[in-house]
Amino acid sequence: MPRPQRITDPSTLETLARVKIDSLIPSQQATAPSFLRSANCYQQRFIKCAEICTFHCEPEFIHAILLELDPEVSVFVPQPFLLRIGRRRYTPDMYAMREGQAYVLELKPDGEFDPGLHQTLTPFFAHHGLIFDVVANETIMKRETEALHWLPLIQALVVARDVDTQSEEGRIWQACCARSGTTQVGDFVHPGDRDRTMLSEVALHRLLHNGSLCADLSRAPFAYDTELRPCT
Amino acid sequence: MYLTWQQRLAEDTSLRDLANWPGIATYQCESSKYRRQFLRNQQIVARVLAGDKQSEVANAVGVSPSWISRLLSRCLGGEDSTPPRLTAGLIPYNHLASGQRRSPLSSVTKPRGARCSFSHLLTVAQGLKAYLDNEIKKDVGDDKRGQNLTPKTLHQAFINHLISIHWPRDTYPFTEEKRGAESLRRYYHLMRAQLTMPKDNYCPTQPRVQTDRIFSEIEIDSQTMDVFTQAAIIDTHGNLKPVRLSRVSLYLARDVASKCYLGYWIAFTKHPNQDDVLALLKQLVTPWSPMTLTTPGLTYPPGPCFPTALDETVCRLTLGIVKFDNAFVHSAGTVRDFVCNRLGATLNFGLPKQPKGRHVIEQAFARVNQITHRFKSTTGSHPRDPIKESQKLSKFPPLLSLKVLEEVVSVFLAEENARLLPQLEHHSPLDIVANQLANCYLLLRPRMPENALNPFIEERQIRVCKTKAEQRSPYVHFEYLRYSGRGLNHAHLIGQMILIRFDRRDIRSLHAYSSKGEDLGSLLAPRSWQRYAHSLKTRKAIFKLNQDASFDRSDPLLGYFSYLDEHKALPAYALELVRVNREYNAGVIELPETPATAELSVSHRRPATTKTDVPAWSSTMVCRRRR
Repeated sequence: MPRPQRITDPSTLETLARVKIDSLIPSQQATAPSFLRSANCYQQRFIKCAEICTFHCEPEFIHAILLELDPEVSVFVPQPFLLRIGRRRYTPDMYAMREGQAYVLELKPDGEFDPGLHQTLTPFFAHHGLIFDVVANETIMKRETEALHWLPLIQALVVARDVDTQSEEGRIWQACCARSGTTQVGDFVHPGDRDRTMLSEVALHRLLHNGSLCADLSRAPFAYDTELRPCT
Repeated sequence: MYLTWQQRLAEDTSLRDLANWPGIATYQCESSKYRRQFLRNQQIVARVLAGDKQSEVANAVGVSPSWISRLLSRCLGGEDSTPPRLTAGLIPYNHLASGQRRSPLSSVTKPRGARCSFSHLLTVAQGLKAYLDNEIKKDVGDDKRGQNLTPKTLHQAFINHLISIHWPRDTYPFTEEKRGAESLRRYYHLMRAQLTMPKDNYCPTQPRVQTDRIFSEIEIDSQTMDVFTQAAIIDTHGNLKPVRLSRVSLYLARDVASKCYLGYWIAFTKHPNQDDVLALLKQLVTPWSPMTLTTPGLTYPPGPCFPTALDETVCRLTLGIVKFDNAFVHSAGTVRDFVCNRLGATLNFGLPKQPKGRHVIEQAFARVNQITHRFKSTTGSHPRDPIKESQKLSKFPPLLSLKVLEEVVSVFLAEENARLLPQLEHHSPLDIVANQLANCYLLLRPRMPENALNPFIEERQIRVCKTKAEQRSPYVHFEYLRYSGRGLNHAHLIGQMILIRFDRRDIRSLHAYSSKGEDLGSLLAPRSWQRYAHSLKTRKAIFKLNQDASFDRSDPLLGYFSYLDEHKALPAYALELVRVNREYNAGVIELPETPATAELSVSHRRPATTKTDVPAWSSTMVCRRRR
């Protein structure tokens, strides 16, 4: 974690004084039931977030799937803080920890965000060692198809979160590395007897999730002939 | 800034090519004379834009060069902030701009005509336009300070306002016979139409990702069925007496990719609660079993009728995105816990008042309504629907029984699943599911313990209590009652939090575990609540009703039943009576029991035949009623 920046500029200090926050430990802010029922909300359990996540729009949901699939991201929390800027209350959309650096992200159509708020929040979070950034919804939605193809895998892993597959993961990893030609999902999953190869399936999903194996799902969903390759 | 036609062409060189101008069909010109003039104008403009001199073109066509210049200005000239008129300028006698009055308003001494006087008056009379607009806005916006306007009343207000601002009495509109009433009427209707236009809510439409994988999107919704039913109840004299029931609600779950019905649930209420949603969700993860059909003429199509009957693995498929509407029950904690935690699926609440976002399920209800609207006891689609049950028939219980309706719905959905659909390239929804099961890699959930996917099993943290003043064993408070059991008779547990596990459909007993995970056995409700299996919903209903009506405290369950029986003439009470009767007779409890509680164990026997045992429907029943 980078050390907080020392701020000497008086105008910036004055700006920072306007921002109030109870805690900088990211914790999902509760969504009001009325809001849950008046927006296109999504709720989903993820591996990298400890509780059921609530997303206030589809781009936020797709963004969370992409963060879940990103091996460099270790944890993320939607609606992580509640800030008070003067009389205004503000909750960022996402907190993500990527390679030891914490990011606070705001998702907006066309990446257009209130410039005044942006000027206030950027030095505030920088002062506490976090990077504040605005992400355009459109850049996220470009990968919507890919994210939705990965969603069943995440869901299967969430349900199988207590299944121990350590030894099986090692076996599959070695098999993928040792094989000279292409490796396919069908090499580890038996279509006729899924129960027998269920442990291998979960192990395979874990390897794909943690970035040990790679698969291209940008065009087609997961299939028996999906090619697997070790990630470098 | 005003642009001449030459400046416009210099600014946008693409306009030099007449092919870039919007096309117009020449038949839009009313007569052949106009059409000829339009084609002549088109020819002139094309030649000038091609680089011919205006004088040459003028000589060739037989018009003056200045006329050509005016035509080009009409087509290409104008303010830089507004787009050029282009082809619209070629149409002869086409009014391109609204009229504007240049001369002063007509007066008694200097009559100048009334053309464009009203719009001119709005600009020169101080505050007149704002006043009129505000009056119309208050009417359209249903403001409490507004009035229900008509053109006549608005005209009166218009005249009064002019008088109040001391508008000269010898000037328009006082110089006209109708004092501008017709212009005001047109202005009123125009403004009213403008104000009632839908607001432009910025909602960028994203191209939807069409999914072809089964179970990747599931739509769930409920609807109050458009039909009244009856149930036969045995009265105190032992006679079979049909009573009219309130309308029931139908919950449906449908797969988007295959258009397959995954399950249904008929809730015996107009307002389903979370238990009804859970009952539907349970059907998605348990194999389907057919009903025992008693209605003559109803049979299931051959073979499996629902996907869960196809193969056991269908019950273990990951469910993708489960789409609900924004009803209050859908955001219940139990529903969220089951869908997100136990099934690992995504829960989605659509935008309010946007049913087309879930068109697959809305289409399903439209299909179901086609069946229910065939019965004479239907309500129709709306209060003035001609097929609505007549007043004559509504005085008596309908012929359609609840049991028959359940069977009809079950068979209808089964047939829908087996029907060949053109949108699926003449395959049935079940064919699509079976095909993908055999050929596609669909992700499965691992095998789980039997009760792990029972949505009715719930867990709560609860504190053990002991009243020092009373010589009673320790207990826990649960849903208005004290539960006790041998497992709680330990001093170290008093004041501690324990975990209880229970079935929402039968809360006569709970299963308790200490905070360290030790099994504390079953905790039982008081003996007065042990007679019949009853759900959380029934207990809450009893205690809610107990505030107004008094029950027999020694047996509140039977007391509630008797209360409903007394009021069964009211359809809502009769429907609740049927629900409670089924619940009392169900007697389900799947929680493990410990030997320690054997002497206090719940009586699982089915209660003896109750007064409301409903016989199966048969044609003889109809004959009996006719007699």
